[in-house]
Amino acid sequence: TNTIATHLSSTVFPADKHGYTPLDIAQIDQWLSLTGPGSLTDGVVDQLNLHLKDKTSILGTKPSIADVVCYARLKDLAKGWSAEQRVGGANGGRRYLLRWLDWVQNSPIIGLKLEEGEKLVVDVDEVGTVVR
Amino acid sequence: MSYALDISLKAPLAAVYPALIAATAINHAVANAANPVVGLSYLDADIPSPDGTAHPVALKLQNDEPVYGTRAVLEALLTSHATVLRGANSRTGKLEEEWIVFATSRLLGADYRAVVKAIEELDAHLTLRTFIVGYTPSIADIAVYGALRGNSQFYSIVRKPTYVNAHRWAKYMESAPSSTAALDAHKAATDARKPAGSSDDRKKTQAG
Repeated sequence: TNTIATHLSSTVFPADKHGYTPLDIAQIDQWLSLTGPGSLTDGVVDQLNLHLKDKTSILGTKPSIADVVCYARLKDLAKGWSAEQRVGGANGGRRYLLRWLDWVQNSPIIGLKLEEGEKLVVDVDEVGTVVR
Repeated sequence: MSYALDISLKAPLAAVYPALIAATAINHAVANAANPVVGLSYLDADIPSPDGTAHPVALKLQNDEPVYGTRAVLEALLTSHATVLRGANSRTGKLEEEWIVFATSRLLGADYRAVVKAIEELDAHLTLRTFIVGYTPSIADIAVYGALRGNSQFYSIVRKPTYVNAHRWAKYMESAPSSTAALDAHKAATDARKPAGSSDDRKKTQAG
């Protein structure tokens, strides 16, 4: 499936528009294979959460096919996470991953156009809101 | 050209950047870049409103009264260019207008401790949000980012990963083409005024 994803990528996220560097492409490949069938473990999920701690998208600021494919592979897993796994615990759970999943499913730049019922339910006020 | 934004080169950058980046974002969103929607002029003095108060920015609208000051200009731009400046797919939370108030009242002219408090609130707000309102950068992000970016002391707080969510958000805002273009244009205008001054100096030297 990674081969198909990479092929589709050239039409959905044209390289000349986004200016992917060789490092970007290596990162896309890395996350496509890490989240692939057979290698997607809890450890990989936590690794991606930590990767997204200081990044808007998997590449940092640019959108890519890695955001789309990893979202599709993680969305149903995330539905089964407890509140503790989502945002709790000493290091805040998988909150960075949750923020990124919610952005991917709603961002016009990614352009998934999902029905509300297909989306992972994310309460953006679940943690953090103190703004008055 | 239907809108003209006057920018004072004497005003604090924090009061100028929000309107400047918003105007640049509007111009970038329009296909024909050769004919900008919002024309920019840089003035080497503060901009007086009819009542005599000095302002950092003013927006002149065709066939309409000009508006003065950061907050009024941001509100006018949001009204006239809502499709560009509103966040997409917003479902919950405060509106863009409330964040314009947050940026202009909590970040501009506030003391260090008050701004740190505001940054803490921003960081908490951004925990599960990629952008301040909705799922795209909006005038809320531009107002808050511009006000912080224009003050090196405050901007250094979000440049460090202490407030991890605000830090991640600021990195994204920094990478936006309209942010870079706006800051570059302002720097060019500031630099352009210097040679004029130095040539005057030279004349004086020659005369003396």
